[in-house]
Amino acid sequence: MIVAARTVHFASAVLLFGELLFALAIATPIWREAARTVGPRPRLLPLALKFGACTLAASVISAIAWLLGEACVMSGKPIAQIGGDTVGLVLSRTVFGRLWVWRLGLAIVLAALLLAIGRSTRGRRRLRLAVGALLVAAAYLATLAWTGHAGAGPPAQVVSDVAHLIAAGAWLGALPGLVVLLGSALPVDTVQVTRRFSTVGVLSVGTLVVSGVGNAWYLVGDLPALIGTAYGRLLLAKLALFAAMVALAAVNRFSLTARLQARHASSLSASRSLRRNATLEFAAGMMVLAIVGLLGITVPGAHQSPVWPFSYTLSWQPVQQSFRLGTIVVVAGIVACVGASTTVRGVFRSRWRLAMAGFAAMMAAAAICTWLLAVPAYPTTYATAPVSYAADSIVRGASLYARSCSVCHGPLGRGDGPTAASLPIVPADLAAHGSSHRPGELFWWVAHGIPGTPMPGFSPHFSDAEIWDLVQFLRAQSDAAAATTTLSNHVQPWRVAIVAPDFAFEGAGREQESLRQPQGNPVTLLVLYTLPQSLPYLRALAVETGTFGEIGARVIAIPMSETEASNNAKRGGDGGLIFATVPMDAITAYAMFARQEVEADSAPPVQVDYLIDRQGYIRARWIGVPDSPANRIAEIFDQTELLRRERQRAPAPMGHLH
Amino acid sequence: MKRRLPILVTLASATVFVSVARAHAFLDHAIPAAGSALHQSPTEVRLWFSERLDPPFSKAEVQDQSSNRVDNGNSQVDSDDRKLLRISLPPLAPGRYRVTWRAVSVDTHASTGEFTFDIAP
Repeated sequence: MIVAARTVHFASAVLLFGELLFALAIATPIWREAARTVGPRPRLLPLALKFGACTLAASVISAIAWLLGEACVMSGKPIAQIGGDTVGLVLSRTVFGRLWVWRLGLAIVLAALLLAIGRSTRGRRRLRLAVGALLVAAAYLATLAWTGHAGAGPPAQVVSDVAHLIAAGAWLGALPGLVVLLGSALPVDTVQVTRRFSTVGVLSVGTLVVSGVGNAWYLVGDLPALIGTAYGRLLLAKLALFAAMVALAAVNRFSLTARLQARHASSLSASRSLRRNATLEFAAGMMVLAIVGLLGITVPGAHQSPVWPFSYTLSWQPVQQSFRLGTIVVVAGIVACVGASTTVRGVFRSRWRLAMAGFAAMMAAAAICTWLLAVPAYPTTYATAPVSYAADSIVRGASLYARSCSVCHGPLGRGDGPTAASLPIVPADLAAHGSSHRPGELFWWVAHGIPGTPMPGFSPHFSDAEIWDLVQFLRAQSDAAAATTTLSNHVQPWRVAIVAPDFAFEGAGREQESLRQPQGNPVTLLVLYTLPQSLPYLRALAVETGTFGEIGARVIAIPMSETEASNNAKRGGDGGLIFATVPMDAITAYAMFARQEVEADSAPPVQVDYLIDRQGYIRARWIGVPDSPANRIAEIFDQTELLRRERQRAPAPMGHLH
Repeated sequence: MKRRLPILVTLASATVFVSVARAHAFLDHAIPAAGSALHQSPTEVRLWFSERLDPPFSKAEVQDQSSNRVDNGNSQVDSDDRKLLRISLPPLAPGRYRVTWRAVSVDTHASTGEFTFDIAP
């Protein structure tokens, strides 16, 4: 029901604004000029006012229906149980409700203005009232922006949305007026009317495109979401309808307007064609609004895991691996641009052979690029993991791996398991593949195997959640292998990204916290210690608590084994230093990153310190108990200072569905 | 005008989208963390969501293993951080507890969910 109410309401708001704009900006000036030269015209004002009144009534009724629908959704009760108190609650204490009160006020003002226009006899006064009505109608339409996702997004999105609504109103809402006017006026009026309308149309299309791109950026985000989610596909349907509308408008503007000025017979048929096209445009526009109604209750593509429908996708990977391919793609790209501009020039100068040549060049270049950049893809290629990148998920994945994967892929994923030698195809080196493939691809290969190779599919033997745990582990395993060569006691300026897995911990006398904080993460020093070897170092850290607090760093110390930390070590747990107890999972996960050799696993060290930056990446690592705790702490201060001075970047992707 | 329109048309055929679309408020983060085991009884459950919430219809409750309600019944959206829903708890015995939540975001969409946490003896 909400979809229908939304569609009707949008349509009515668009029409109110558009018709007023049309009347004021296009029809009235031409009307008056024609009245001076040719004589009095039949009065269309009563018809226009009646139309306005009906539209406003439809708007108010649909607004009430929408409000009731929202009350149902918000309270979770079926419509029969909605009482006055629920509606009152919606109206007074929700953003949507308060907005609705304002809009109802606007509707009442608009009704009063329309009434006054109908009653007044002096043209001047009517004009001023009409301008007032236009402003009110604009506000009525623009405030719809806050009923959508833009209301929960940044201000830039609201601005973009308002621009989009106004532009749509100016074009779509004025179309009925255009059709009516074309059917009643003399040809001399028609040309000027269509010319002026074209100006409005062009401005409107430009604004729709720019604001539309902006909105899509916030709500869809990328191409896989556009093709792989319901929201994205609805948007594509809307785009197709919009393209049809623009095509009709272009025909009107370029061929039919010119023909209107021609001889009598041709101009009459041109006028009929114009009216037909405008009506078709309007019909397409109403379908667009119906899609908008549906879009409103669909989860935006950016917030869903896309399902890729094709067997192939385009990727820059082949280009990254081969310089020759890269050069070919760049050349093809240039050819495509040249071809496109040639086509456009040829079309508008009516040099058709030139246009065809340009078009052919463009298509050839596009085909070459598609051929070169295509890689196999699966429904889950662009999927996002439903579990976040956390220690418990990684450890669950590790146990699955040990049971089912290490027999071929080896304990460290190097492809050197006990049965590997007997396989026709060597098992992949997962350490390399774990982070160079999308998680969704890994998910598909684990679930369904790789045809033509001994890799079997593990679905439904493993559940989807278990396979995602395994994928998280593969990522951690790959990161651990990379850590052997990239992590040192100096912060490298932004190289390989090793994400710090999230975990929850409890400090003495503190509530449970997690590594990743919603309010923003400080630079964190994570110390995995063993007693009694680490005791001098921990004491030195405790002394420096204040300094850590000053430089905005947090120190979390967790024991390498699950036994309780000795009371001797607990000192000064305020400021920056937290002695924490964690589940074994966190220790196991972080011990993985302490490996120092790529080929072989070693026993976990007695102590390891990790320095984690504000975005959640592990940037430096110190292994072993230091001979001089003061030197180590001084080093850590230096590196923390480097991290603090770094430019803020986007937080580490935790793979978690949003 | 005639020269500029082709460019606009070409651009128009590239992208047009209307926003007015909605997001649901998803649970981003919770303390106690979902699936975690605590050593001490928490004083409150805090739920952080991906969107700001509308206070009247967003609520949460905590139940024990026998499905008895154990929270203080005062779940509310934090006045400083509209993405945070908090509910306070009395001291609880060791065991498994289930948090059930219902969130209505400012763009009027409702979502629900639940998770469990343990208190270790």
